[in-house]
Amino acid sequence: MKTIRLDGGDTEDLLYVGKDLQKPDVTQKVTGKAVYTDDIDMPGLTEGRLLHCPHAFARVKSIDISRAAALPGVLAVLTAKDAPEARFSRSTMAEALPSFAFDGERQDQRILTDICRYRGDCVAAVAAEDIYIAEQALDLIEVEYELLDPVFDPFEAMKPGAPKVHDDVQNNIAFEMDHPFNMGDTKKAFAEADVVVEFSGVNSRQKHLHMETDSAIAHFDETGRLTVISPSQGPHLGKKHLSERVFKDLSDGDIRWISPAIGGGFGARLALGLEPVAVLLARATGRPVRVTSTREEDFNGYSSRTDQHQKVRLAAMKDGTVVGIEQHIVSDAGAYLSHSATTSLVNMQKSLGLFRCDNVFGHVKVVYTNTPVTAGFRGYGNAEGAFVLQQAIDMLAEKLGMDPIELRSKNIRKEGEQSFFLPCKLEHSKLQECIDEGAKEFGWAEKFRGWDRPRDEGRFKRGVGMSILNHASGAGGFLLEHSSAIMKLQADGSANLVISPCEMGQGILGALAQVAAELSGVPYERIRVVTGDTDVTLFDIGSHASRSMFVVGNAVADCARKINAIIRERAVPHFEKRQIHVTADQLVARGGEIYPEGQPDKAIPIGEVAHDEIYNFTDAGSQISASGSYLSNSHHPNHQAAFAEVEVDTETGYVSIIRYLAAHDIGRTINPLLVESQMQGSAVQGFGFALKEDFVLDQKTGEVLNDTLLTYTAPTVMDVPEIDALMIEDPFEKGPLGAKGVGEAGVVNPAAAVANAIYDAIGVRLHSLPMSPEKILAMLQNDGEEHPAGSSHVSGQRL
Amino acid sequence: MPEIAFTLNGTPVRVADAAPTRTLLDWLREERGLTGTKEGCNEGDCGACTVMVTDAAGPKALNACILFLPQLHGKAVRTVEGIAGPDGTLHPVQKAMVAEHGSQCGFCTPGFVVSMAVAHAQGRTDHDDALAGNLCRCTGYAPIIRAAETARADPVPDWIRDDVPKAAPVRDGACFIPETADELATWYEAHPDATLVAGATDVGLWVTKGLRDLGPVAFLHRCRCLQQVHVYKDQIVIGAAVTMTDLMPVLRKHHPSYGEMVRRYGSEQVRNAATIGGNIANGSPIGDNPPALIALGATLRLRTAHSAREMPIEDFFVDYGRQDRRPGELVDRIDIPASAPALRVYKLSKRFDQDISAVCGAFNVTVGDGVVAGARIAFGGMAGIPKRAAHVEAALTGQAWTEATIRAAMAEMARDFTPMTDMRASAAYRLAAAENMLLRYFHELGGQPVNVLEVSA
Repeated sequence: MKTIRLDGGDTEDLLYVGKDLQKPDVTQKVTGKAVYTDDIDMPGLTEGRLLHCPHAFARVKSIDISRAAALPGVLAVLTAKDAPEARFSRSTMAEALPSFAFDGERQDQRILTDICRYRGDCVAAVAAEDIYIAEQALDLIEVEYELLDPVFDPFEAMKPGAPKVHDDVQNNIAFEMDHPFNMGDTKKAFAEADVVVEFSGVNSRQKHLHMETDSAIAHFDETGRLTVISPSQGPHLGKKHLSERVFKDLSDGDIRWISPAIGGGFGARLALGLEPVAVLLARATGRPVRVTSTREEDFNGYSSRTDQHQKVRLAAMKDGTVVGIEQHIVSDAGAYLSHSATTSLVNMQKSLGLFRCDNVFGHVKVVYTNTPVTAGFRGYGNAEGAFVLQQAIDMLAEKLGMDPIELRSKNIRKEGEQSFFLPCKLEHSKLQECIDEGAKEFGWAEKFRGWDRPRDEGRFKRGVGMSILNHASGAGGFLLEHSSAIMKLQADGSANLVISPCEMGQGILGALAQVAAELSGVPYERIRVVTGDTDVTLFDIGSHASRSMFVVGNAVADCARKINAIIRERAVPHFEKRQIHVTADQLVARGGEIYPEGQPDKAIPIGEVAHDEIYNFTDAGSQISASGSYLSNSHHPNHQAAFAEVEVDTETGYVSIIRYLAAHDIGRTINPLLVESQMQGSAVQGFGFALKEDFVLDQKTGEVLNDTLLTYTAPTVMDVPEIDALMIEDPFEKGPLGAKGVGEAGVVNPAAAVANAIYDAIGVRLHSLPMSPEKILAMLQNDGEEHPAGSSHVSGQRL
Repeated sequence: MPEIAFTLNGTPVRVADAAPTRTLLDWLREERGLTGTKEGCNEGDCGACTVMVTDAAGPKALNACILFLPQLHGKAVRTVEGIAGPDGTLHPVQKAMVAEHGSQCGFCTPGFVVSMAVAHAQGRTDHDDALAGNLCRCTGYAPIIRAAETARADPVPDWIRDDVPKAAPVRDGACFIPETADELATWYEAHPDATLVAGATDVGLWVTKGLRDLGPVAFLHRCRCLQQVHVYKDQIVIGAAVTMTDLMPVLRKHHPSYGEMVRRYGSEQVRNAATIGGNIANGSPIGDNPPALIALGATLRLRTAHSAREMPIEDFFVDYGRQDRRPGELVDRIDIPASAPALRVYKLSKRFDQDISAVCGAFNVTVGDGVVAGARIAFGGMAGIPKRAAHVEAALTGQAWTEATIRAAMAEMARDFTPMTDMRASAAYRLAAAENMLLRYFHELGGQPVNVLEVSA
């Protein structure tokens, strides 16, 4: 881990920001005391289980629940006729998107169904006194199915005469649109360009694999008010979605949503999971109901990365100036539309927006198939896009005979130039510095041996590759990108900080408390974070899009500055009493103390002021408290450049990552160890995405073949290198103390950089993920022709 | 279930009202309210449920999700709730996890903390090996490994050392915990339909995933005589209930290539439970021990209460899912030669460890005066049973030990095997990889640096 400060060093004297402070919730986690949804016990709690359709496409002809319902201990057995007719999308994003930007998330599924469109669809739900009885009851439900012809491949699904996954959707096209910011004339640009390249590829359906499987508790209290407890990434949007789309007799305020500890999210929980069915069962039984999925149910049901088949074309002049970019995407929604359309749009936004170019065209189709529902995963389309775009740009560099760094540097959008995301300037970017400093640390100049060098002799061949990215710090302009925070001081000078982000491991609660401590004057260790209850926290669209540090951080900063001002104002009489005559402006509140500027020896504790505001009989009037808010109007991208060195075993096709370096445009590092942890963790997810993780569907039955943690082969500690993390610091004036986001970006580059390094090593380009030994060996044996990915879900069909 | 006794976080407990196939994980969470131990997969793949189990040999990390309560009879169990001191003092590994940000979402953390505390108590420094059975999706592992290194220097806290409790013999018809192999054999003859449980790394899944009712069960962990390894001048005699962990140092000394392969066998927690006899007796075509044992020319001994018989181990595997084992007969011991300098074992899997092999190849070729005098070559993952490559062996035997011979023999591989395509690998890849393994073996014996760790794929 290394930080490079671009403005030559920090002259500010910060007490908490920039330090590796301990996270507030970590002691509970290392002692096993942290409470997750499945750990909760409450009076009268019952357990629910679901009956899934064993066929990829079928209609329920008849269903007999009588034996199950008669089993002692069974409280409810529900089927499609008991579920609301209302359709909903699992994705809650529809509530946060303006219709001008996006109008495509079809609301298309029911909680329980009698038309099963994939093997994870639920036909019945049981609630029972315990999980064992509920499991037995499932066995007693008798269902007769009428089998329908399924379709598993998006290209097959679009053909005339293909089975229709949804009756009302022609050619199974769930969503189709041109990119809203297409511009110029790509046809002309490509015709007039000196050099054109084209590359197509597809990513795998990487599973989120949160270690905690899905779980939800629902409970109606004596007044009829609903409490939901679940590991949601966005409970405020969740309750709006649940009331607006699913249970239309409820309204937003009828739902209280509690988030306990969350065992990982990575985008999967930016959606309704088991909450709707838990609510349905709780209503039917009048008891609290918990539904927890098994690992197999998680694999077979919701959700994974969306497999996006992409074709990218680049046009350039001889000097390397990119003059045209085209991207076509066909994405597989699976059986229902969730985040697959939005992730495809974000892919286009990132892929088409990275390079300065006047002629840009993007088009996307999202297609239904009888396969599990796909969704958004950390990186949200960006990792899917980088795998294709970053190989295409390397192909262009090779054709032009340019160093990959030189070509990228020449074309990236620079600070102050027009941004692609929205009609506004790119206000802050240190991508060039990431490229330059990263290349220096990595030793790119020595390691990249040119396009026409001979390959290494012998069985093991080495190569290097790079990739760059732009990502977001929240999606201001597109999403309801606002957040609010509350802070109040107790009589002892400690504080409660009420904030909305969901802590799913990213350490955001501590980082926000560091900002609050720095700006309010209340010491970090005396700030208690309050979160996880929508009755207490203010509206916020949840933890995703690397937004929390930037958007919530700014809300916290606003709140903390107000607290600081109130403390100073209320401290004036306390100094008067000591014969020190100052105005609030002349006071400093910092580290738990208040003192006249330059005279720390005259300090009084913040606690004295906080106490008197509550308990002094003559002067008390109002507890020190404030709320702060922030509305972001732009994406304020963070950036990353990554460099990989790999070794390919030409006997087995196995790829080892020898070294991986990522340089991140962070703005300001609030907590260096936390930032590095995000970079390490996201890179390792990226290595799994690049080399190992596949989602294998039986092409005849639609069954998920690798539905266990043994067969899915996510990386263990033995499989991954430790990465070199480089933080490029240059405080951004709009960020809280200068910070931008970091959580997602790291997963974007690995597959792209590794793919380019594999090409450098053995001269073949991989068109599909994962870049498994089997594919590589086949390509080596077939003169660079990719082995049809027969054992993979993805069809191998290229655009 | 008859009463069984163990200690839990230092306190003696007795359990009599549970089914013999009740798992420790369910019992901890549902009966004791100890919810720190997590369920991530319920089949021993993720390590989120790791507990510390101490017996006379010391502490071990085991997966509680596939650990039946009777397997704890006479042992000491410590869960994540018992890793910090009684006064709340954090264990050194917990302190280090806090300091290094080794915990993010925290769901895998209890399992890591327990695995780390066991490794710390054992004084181990091979953190990667010790923690390979614990999956983490958040951290990328580096902060956890740093934490393990940081904690290493701190002394083992007193509170973590458990005494092994005394346990009375359990001789119940439905749940039998014998003390000797003779006792076991007699009971098994009377209950030939019973299930024998040694490590439960496979049988555990019959219950947690197959939801099977096992009927009468015998638990083998107190049969000391089945857990011995005897090394003689020419041969090594391995008891059927020897765990892979206990076997590994013997193999590393006598058959280093096989020993290195075992490092990639399952994970720490799985090796601590899994026994060599179990790996053979369940007849899986993808077990990693049989190919190596076949190449070594191992002899398998089966016994009943009154008789015993021996066979070359390859004869035990009759057909997919069918072994040459008669009702009431149990796998008793395996004999292997003490030396086989030409033995090499190659494991090909998607992940380094914690993964079923796509192909596992074992090679043992004797060369005299430049001519192949004998060849024993066996594969797992290439057929419905672990199987010798008879045509390849024939193509080598009597021929000059040259690359030309090897290439000719490689072409015979397709006569020996018609592998299948599944999610791990295609038939073509399996065949190509098996052929390449033979070439690799030739290069390796020729002195080129190649080892089992390079073969991962």
